[in-house]
Amino acid sequence: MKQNSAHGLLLLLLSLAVAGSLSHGAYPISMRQLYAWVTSSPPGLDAISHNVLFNIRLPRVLLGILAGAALGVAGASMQALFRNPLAEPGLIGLSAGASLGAVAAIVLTPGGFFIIACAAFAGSLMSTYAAYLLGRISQSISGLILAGVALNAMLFSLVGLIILSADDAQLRDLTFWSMGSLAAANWPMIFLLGPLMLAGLIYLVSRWRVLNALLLGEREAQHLGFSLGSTRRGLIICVALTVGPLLAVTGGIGFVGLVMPHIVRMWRGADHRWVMPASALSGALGLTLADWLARCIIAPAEIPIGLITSLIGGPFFIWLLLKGRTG
Amino acid sequence: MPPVLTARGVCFYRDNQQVLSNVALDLHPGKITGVLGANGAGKSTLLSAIAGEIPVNKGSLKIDGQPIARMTMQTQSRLRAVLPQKSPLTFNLTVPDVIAMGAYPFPEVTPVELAQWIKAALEDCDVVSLQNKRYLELSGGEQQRVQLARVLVQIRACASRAGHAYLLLDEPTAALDPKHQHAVMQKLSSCARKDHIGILIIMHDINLAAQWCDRIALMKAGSIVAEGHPNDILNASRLYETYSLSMRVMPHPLNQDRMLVLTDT
Repeated sequence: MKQNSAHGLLLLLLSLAVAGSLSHGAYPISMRQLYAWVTSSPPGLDAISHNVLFNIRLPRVLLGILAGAALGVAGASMQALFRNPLAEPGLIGLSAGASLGAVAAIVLTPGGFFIIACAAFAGSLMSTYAAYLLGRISQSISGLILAGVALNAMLFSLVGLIILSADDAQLRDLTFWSMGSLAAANWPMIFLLGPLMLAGLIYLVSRWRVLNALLLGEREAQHLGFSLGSTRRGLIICVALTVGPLLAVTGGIGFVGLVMPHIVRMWRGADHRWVMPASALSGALGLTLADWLARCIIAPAEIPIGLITSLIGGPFFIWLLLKGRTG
Repeated sequence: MPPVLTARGVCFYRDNQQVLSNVALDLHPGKITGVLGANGAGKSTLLSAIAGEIPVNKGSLKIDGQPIARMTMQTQSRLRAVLPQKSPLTFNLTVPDVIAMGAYPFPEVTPVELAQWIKAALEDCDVVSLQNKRYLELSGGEQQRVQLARVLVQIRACASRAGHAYLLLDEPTAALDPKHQHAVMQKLSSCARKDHIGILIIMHDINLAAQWCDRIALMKAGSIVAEGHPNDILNASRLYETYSLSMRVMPHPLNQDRMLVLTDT
């Protein structure tokens, strides 16, 4: 299958998933109504359907697309940077920092979505910066991995300490935060985060040459003209600014950044000119489907999306390992 | 034609040890210079210094009169190509993917030019039959030839833009069988002359160097103890000084212009 038609197939599947996700849910909107709304033809939507579709479902599906694409592309970038197919954005301290920020906000402050999100974002930026500084001391890329691992361990134990002083309501809040959800999506969030995440996505996808070169090893990437210091900095900053705010508003969503680039590489190889757009599309597709399941399995209640991605991602990853092909 | 690359008085220290001591070298376009020496003599460090990877503590390294220390990696990548000993590629790229990377320093190159260079490199390195395979499926020697093809693409791109270029190779024939060893050296030789490339090769095979290099530099303990045409500097006493091994040098029975070196154990 040619590259463009493979991208086309992913786009088609994504469109189908979006249509399905928009129509299906606790308040069903039929496909015919959806089609009427899209083409602005009669009979149109009744007031409730319009409200549900426009104010609840559409921002949520858009957030799912952006989030899935961002996680997929960030995961592929990390795997190239560390030359390790097990790398993902959490390796540089993003998730641990976001968790610490969120937990601190939930337990130590009056809380509320905005405060928690800001604290989580600040936490993710600070821990990524700390990992980067620590990694710079040892000068090598494995130093950065070790710094990330050490920092993750330290931050999660700090999280544990704060949890000790949490009451039951707070415990419940932070448990659900860490399992992730797209439920808080609204238009102000999309307008605020959308451009930032799109810019980050476009930047990372455009770096396909340096990501390919990094696969040959850092020394060879240098011989091909890429400056290591600024490349590393650029990639880490971009991932932190794209995924950090995302984690802040959705909580913890795992496995997408790890598994999607693998699947994509297994399908048509490791050339990043293919892998980057395909990781974005397949990440968006995966998360849209996961959110659809999250909303519909026990409707009208919801399963946290991070739980779905782990429940499906975990066994799927084991299956990949058993098949003997890890990219 | 003036030398492409000049090194004068180059010194480099690592952990308080002097690894390079007063190294002087010229790379001329169209000529192959072999660098020989025992393990630990400083050959790879010299190559790293010339490739701009490590800053020298003393002395000057210039290309076309410009100090390398003042050039960005991007500028250097458009003037020279480097092939190190090993390539730790563990991801599943195809052979054309790897070879096409040689043109990354030249994002402005047209698809037609790139296709021509890739085709020429595939033929030069005898890897045409491998072009539909994935890099990880190949043997060590085949992978080495694919990396060489990548470097040839880069060097041809450099030569097409700057008129000349230089190529640094660290034991490029180490993993190759005898037929491919000579084929590669022959290709490098013709490439050097045709595209005006100055080539520096670190080698362990003294006879391969004696046959194909225009100049040889013998290194010992961080300095160059002798440099010149192979026939002039390959003699038993110099080789003993370099390798601490008794050798005998005699005229090559099949190639009147060159010498043959045998170990005398």
